[in-house]
Amino acid sequence: MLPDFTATVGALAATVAEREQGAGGSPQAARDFVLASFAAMPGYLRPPLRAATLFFDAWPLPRRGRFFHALSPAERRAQMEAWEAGPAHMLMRFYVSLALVSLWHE
Amino acid sequence: MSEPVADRLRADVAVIGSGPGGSVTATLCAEAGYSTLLVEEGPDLPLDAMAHFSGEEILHKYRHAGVTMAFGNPSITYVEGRCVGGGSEVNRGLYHRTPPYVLEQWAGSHHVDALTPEALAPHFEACEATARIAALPGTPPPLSQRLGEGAMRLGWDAIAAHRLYDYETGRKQSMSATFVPRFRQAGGRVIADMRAQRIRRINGRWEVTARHRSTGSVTIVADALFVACGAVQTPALLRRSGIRHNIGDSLRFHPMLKAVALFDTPVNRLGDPDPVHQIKMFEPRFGIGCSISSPAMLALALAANPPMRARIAADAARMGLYYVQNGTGHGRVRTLPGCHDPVVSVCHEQAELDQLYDGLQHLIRALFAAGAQAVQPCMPGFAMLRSVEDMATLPECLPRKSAMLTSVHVFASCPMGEDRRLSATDSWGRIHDADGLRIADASLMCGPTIANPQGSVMAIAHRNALHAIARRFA
Repeated sequence: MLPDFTATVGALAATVAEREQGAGGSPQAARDFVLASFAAMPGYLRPPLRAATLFFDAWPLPRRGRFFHALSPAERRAQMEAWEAGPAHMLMRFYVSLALVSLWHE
Repeated sequence: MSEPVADRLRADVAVIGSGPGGSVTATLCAEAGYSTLLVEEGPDLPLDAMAHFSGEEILHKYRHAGVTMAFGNPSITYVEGRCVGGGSEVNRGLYHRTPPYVLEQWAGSHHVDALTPEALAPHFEACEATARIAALPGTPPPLSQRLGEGAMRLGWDAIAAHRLYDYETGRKQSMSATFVPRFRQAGGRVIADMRAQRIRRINGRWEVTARHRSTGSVTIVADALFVACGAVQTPALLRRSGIRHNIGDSLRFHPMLKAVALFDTPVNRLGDPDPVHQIKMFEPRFGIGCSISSPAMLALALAANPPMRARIAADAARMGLYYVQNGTGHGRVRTLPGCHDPVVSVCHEQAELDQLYDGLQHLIRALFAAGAQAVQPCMPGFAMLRSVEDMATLPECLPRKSAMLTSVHVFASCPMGEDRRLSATDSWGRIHDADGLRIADASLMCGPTIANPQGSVMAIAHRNALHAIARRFA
């Protein structure tokens, strides 16, 4: 099994959706919005962002034996909050911001 | 998918870019009897094709789906329109004439000829008639009034800005609803979904190499050419084409800091008109205003402030989003070999960042004076403030790592003027030593206006197009 970009974006969107009380949008729509935004962003930004996302998908592997996208919702949320408080906060803010736009537009 | 076009097109005049500058320019050229092509990289969508400020609109009408950034410390995220009508389709349509002191500054710094309020007045009037500039009839929405009340209690002046808006039909206006139909009526042809890749002068004419979404490679040959792709894409196209003197070296922004206020009563009701109040008395140091405060825009602004964001579900009607903006940030536009998209970098002068932060503190004071129960500066690491006294807990200076700067205005990347050390074009948009090649967009501005620049862009384009037509584009 390899890191999976689409599944990681889906897991991040689902985690944001789960903690966003009252937002009407679905995690699937949020994932699709993030992926569509990613596809439209400047070409020179996509490869490093994809690589960073795959790196973070693989991050829990040594300790938990599973990719981020395969963790339980509670584990994903704890992991994501740890990233948000650490050096990965910019990447997380990027994904959270895009997911929020979709979740709250519904 | 758009209709295919011929792979070779011929016109008297070609205008690349259909935003406020390009649409006005193309309309005047077509009405003067020239066969005119208006080329747009993005799609041709009706103004109301999708809800304004919705995710769908962001994906279809914004360049790069809104994910565009000038890299610096701090970086600035900015948005541009990419559709027929350009930025006018996706902005709120707030409208101001260029302040007289700004015109005086430009005339002095860049030696721009004939750029006085009196000389520009007929051009503003002509554009305002077509673009349907209007004041909000009746009472502004509470979210807007609150800012005005806060300013008044502090002894400050606030104004209600005009907009490109048809208040009779309740419809926002834009280029696709005003100048573009006028252009078509004059016999002009719009070609959407076509990206200009390079331009060159050949046999006394301009040749544009372009790529159309359906047709593929297309060549346009025109006697006269205006580049109006916006302040980032115009310098990118020119630099790709080997034209580089003062091109893309002086990009400017109106970066914003935002704050969300929580009031005791509803201020933000579904169906309210867009807010229009602005505090302009501190310009050019900074200007203050109201933002669209839908739940999505509140959530986006509060992305780094979960405690206030958690209140959106229950309290969105009592929440308002406000901004302060100034002219901090000096940017450059560069193209990279093999890269489709230009790279934008920005650096800041500390004094300008300090002024912006001072502006944020003025905004917070105004919101508390307006009766806010809590104010949340929209930046990571900033706590929710419960009173003016809590402002003592704010950091002394704006922490660069926390500054989440956003801008909806980009301009001044190819300034006009007779001073060749600073300017890319002459006083009328003609690129220096480029055989009559002209720029017709926000790139021509010589610096920030702090006020919304769309009126300036339209009036300067109108002035320069008439100048070009009178000289048969020489």
